[in-house]
Amino acid sequence: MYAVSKGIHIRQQSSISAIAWIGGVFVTAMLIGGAGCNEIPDGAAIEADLVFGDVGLSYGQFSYPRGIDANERGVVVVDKSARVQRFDVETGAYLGGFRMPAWDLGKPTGLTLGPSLHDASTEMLYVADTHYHRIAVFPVPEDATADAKQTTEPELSFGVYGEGPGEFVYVTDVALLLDESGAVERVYVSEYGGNDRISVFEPTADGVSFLYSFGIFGDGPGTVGTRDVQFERPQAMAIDYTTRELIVLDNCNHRVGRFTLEGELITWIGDDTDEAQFLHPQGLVLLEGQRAMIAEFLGNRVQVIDLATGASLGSYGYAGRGEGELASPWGVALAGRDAFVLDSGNNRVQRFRAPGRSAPTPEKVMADSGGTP
Amino acid sequence: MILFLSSLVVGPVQFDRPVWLWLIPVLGVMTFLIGRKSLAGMNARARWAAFVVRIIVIALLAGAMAEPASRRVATDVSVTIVQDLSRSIPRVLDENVDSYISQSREGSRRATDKLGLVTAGVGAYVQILPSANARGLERQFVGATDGTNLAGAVRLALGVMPQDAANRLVLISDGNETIGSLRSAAEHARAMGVPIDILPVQLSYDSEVIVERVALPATIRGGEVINVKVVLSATKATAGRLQLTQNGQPVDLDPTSDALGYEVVLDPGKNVLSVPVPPSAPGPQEFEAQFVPLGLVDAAGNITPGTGDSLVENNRAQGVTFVGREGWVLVVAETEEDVQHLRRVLEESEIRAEIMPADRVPTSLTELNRYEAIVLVNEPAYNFSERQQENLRQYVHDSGGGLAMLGGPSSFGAGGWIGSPLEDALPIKLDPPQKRQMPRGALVLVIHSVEMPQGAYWGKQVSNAAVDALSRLDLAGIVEVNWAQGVDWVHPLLPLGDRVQIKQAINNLTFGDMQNFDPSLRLALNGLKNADAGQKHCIIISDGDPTLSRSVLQQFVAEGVSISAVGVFPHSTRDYNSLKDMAEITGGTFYPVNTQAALTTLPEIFIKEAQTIKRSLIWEGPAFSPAVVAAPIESMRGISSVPQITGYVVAADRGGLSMVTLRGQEDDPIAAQWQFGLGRVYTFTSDATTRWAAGWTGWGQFKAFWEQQLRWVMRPGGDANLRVTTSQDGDETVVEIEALDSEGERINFAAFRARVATPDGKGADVQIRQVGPGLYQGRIKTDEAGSYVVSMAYKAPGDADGPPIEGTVQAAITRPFADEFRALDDNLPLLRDVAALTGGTVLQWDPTTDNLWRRDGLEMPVSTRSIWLWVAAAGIGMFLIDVGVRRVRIDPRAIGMFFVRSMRKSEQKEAGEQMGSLHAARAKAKARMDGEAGDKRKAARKFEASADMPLSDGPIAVSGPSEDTGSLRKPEAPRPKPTNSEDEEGGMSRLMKAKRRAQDEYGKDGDRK
Repeated sequence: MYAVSKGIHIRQQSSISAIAWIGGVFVTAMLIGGAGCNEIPDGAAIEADLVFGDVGLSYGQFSYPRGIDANERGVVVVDKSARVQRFDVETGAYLGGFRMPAWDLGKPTGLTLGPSLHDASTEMLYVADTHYHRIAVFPVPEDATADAKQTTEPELSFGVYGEGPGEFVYVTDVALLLDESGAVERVYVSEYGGNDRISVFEPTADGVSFLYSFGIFGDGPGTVGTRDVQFERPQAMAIDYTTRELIVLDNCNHRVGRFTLEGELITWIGDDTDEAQFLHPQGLVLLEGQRAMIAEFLGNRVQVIDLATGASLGSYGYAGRGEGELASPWGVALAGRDAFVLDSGNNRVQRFRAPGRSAPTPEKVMADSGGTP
Repeated sequence: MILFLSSLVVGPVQFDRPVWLWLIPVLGVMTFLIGRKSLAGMNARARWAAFVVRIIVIALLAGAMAEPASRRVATDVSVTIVQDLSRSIPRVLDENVDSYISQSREGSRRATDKLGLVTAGVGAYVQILPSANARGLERQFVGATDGTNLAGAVRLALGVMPQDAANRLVLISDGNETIGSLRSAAEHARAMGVPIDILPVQLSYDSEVIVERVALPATIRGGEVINVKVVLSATKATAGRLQLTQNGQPVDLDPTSDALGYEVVLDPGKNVLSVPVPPSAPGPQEFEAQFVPLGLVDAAGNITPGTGDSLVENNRAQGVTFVGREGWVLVVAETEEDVQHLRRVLEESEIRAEIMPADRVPTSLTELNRYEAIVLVNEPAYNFSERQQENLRQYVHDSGGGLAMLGGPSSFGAGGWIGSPLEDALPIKLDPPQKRQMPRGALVLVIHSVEMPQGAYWGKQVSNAAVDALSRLDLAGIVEVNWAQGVDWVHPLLPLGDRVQIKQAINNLTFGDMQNFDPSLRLALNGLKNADAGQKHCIIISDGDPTLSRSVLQQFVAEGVSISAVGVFPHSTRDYNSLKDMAEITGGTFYPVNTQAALTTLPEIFIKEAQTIKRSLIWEGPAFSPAVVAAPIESMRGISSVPQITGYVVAADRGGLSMVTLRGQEDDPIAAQWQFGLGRVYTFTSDATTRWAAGWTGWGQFKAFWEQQLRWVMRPGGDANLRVTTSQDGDETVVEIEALDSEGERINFAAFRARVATPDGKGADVQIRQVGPGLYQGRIKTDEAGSYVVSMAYKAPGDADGPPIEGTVQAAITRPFADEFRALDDNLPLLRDVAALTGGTVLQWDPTTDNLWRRDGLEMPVSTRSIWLWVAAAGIGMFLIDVGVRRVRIDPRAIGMFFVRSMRKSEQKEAGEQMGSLHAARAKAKARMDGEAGDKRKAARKFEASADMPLSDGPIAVSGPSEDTGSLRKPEAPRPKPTNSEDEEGGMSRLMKAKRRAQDEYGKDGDRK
């Protein structure tokens, strides 16, 4: 600015003109260049750098997608035609897929990528097969020429209909607790339909064995430090290895629960007005720095919250059909710094820059803490 | 002129109102002329710069007003396949089509080109929306396939085609259409610039037998032998068995054989088989002939089994004839109590009647026409399907049948007849009068997703049905989970009135996903709690999987609000039970719907449900005698007063030609009658039992009263002797009537009023003219398969003294089967015509040369995006620069020097040196400019100062310390050149002087005051 003013000859005593001129140029520049940016917007449209999917039954098309997970190797989506499809993180290109073995009674709603129960080096896809009351574990689809309408039987599945221990009504999500070597230590399964609870299993040689469950149907606050908790449709879960907590979205109570890995309630987020507020929190992924991104089904946004304080840090998107807008988002997933929001009502996935990397893995946590979890 | 009227395209920009661009030359010239004087003080380069910048400002602002839009020309091609899936085309063809498309796609399609699929059967369905992602052709729900609606499919494909790509339709068909006109749809495509390529399916059936029709006389006198003629055509000599049924009962054609029917050998071409059938009961007689092929017959007379016929759908045909009518009445009632007193009247009056419950009522109009009148006794609307209600309406309006509707707690408005097809036929309005104060009902519909083919359609149908069954005074609301608004009222709980608003709300339903029943149910309950209504009810339609808490149901129980749950394809027993509990706990009804067929019964369920809140339309109270409206009416002859009643269903006067014969409380119509189309209708809103009319059953005129009403509504018999014949003429049927009076003389100058009841449920007027002595003729369009019933009422002048000759006559015409199975060849000329009309081509089934996604012949669409705001913003920005150019002079050399020196900054120690050199450079530049300007400087001042202002021949103000340098001083300045500060001081001092002068003057004025 100094350099320019040195080259300016004010022809009259019109310093006001000069200020107006400079100001005008600045305002014009602001108009053209847009407002300055904040890393986590407050409800602005998503600035998606990749959008893929449209409505239909062909490869790369969706019929109301309802489950998503991602890692650096791909994004996996399941929709209401019971097809599981995997896509490239960089280009959104179709990488492979299959159809659930049965879907007449209803279609799955939850997906989790994680190591095999018995071999930490093999990646598997855990499908919450909601209306078949089970968790089905499939190999990750890798063949781009595979017909996504071809049904595939799971390598392993567990769960039967019922309200007893280890039985399920409508499963919604799976969370895997891994040890420092990356092996599955426990499996957490959330469900609703009267059994609004979380059941915990541990792997055995031929499947899983039931350990315990916590939660009953209700909207009460529960008791902190105990497993006396109530849920109305626990919809999604994630494990924070830094704090050794299980984070649960209590969908119909519009709140987020923090639990110890033993299922003891630490606190609820969303039941106090000075905390982040939710409208049917539906999809969850954890960010580094004890933060979470939460897709809200009826809120039509992806909210970022601070799990430690319960504060809202901002949100992405609002209700709409246009660019950067969301219609009933069912899920959100992360691959590195890329966030993928499942824009279900618009039958598409939108990718945008996340405000941080995904929460650290147990190996990373171990390394950072010098080997003590 | 073009510039004024149309849009202007300049490169990638389009101006929609280019007239504003004229401002550029006009204002440009003005700017130049004005600028010659006002910019005279600037040097030539600066003046030109100022001028150019001003022109740019003008151009941008004028450009903004001209509504500029950026243009983007599409590069993609979208191909939508329109595939004929009707049953005339073998399904094995699908594989060929799939592989053809797959190979074509690999050959000619670019990655961003789109592919879509629309299928054509009786209806058209989008299978794949045009998309770049679409690979194969996926077919889901295609609907009924016993007809071909190519026109509908082409129109649908035109409707869903993307706007950001050039479009082409590829029609895969044999060209045989049974519904609509492909040619008119092709005209539509041509108007939209969309070529239709044809992929013809060439068919020809080698051996085929068709039962063309069953030819019968339109009417037959009682006792006459019916000569049934069956017309068959065969491509080759074929042996087979002919079977015949009469009203669904098999006719034994060969009493010597155990088998029904008899064996025949058909010759190639047309065959007419004549079957005499003995005289039968009066009324319409429906015959169906079926040919069961046994095999082809060779020259030696040997039969090769299993050959001779390709399509079985065209092996049967129907025909109808009327056998002399006698007066029969159909009485529909559910209980004996409802009908016992009426039965006595019918017997004593010798009116022959059949009494049956609603589920046994004939479903076809032809069968209904067996009766001269139909009496509905305390019948609710939901006992009749929508189609039956349509038939009843047609039976009266178009066939001239009579209808009497008698009341009871399940009748009229309380029976859900409001909004039904039959309502218009009644001489009273079923909605209560607007002024009438009466308890109201309140209904809330809670809508969840309906996951099935056409789910949204049926969801809307049932909502409409429920709303239609309510009265205008009732309150209705709809709650839905909308993805954008959340749980909310789609239509608040308000009186229905004319139903326009709620119909709009129903049309906008999204059938959104619901996680939790509770918020929706609570919202519904809150609405109902606050509603000013007697009966309160809630209906939920759902698959049952949202979360449900029992506590919310208890709140419904506490408030006395019932919930009826319609479970549409519940996912599991648990969902089933969830909905069942909801209904049972709150005292409602649970309706499981697990098949597509059951779904179509939903509207009836909803009408029945809506009736829950309709009991408010019943008036029950102390006995009173309805007032007899004094009018000389045939049906009330001899009746001057009637006994007391204790109840009736409230309705309102219809006005117009309807005649109210009995009135109740507040002048409510109790009995009314009118002529509706060709038929007559009588309504009695009280009943004919001891429930509401206990005093009537023992009344001396009970029989006379009801006999007169029933005889009045019954279709009048005929005085004349009419013989009706029909003949097919293309898509039309010619009806010919030979009219003779009772003495065998031809009747001339008869006036006919005729209606035809068509298979689609709509009727049409038929013009009948006299074409010869006693001979009359009319033409009816009969292009759809099904039965057509023609009813004619005639009136002719009688003898000189005698009364006029009048009566009615009926005839039936049957188009035997869907034309889908009539064609034995393709209709390639039509397809070629469509291709030629739209600029498409006839493809050769060769994916390598057909090149479906070729660009030639396509006009690439252009999308525009308004950019006036940006142009205007740029204009404003330029305006500021414009101000700057005129006020501020930028010395590029000085700036350049500064940057050069800045780069050497690290080498220079003293900041003073920098400044010094900069000042020196500026001084040098200034001296140069002064030299160039010469005498012109004298006029270089921007503003004309007042006379007392000191004149200057150089820049009026110059900033910077270089002013001190002697080299900048003007050599010929007449006065010492004021410095900038001096000038400011001078200005200030002038201002001060002026202010003082003003104060003095003001002070003087003040003193004067």
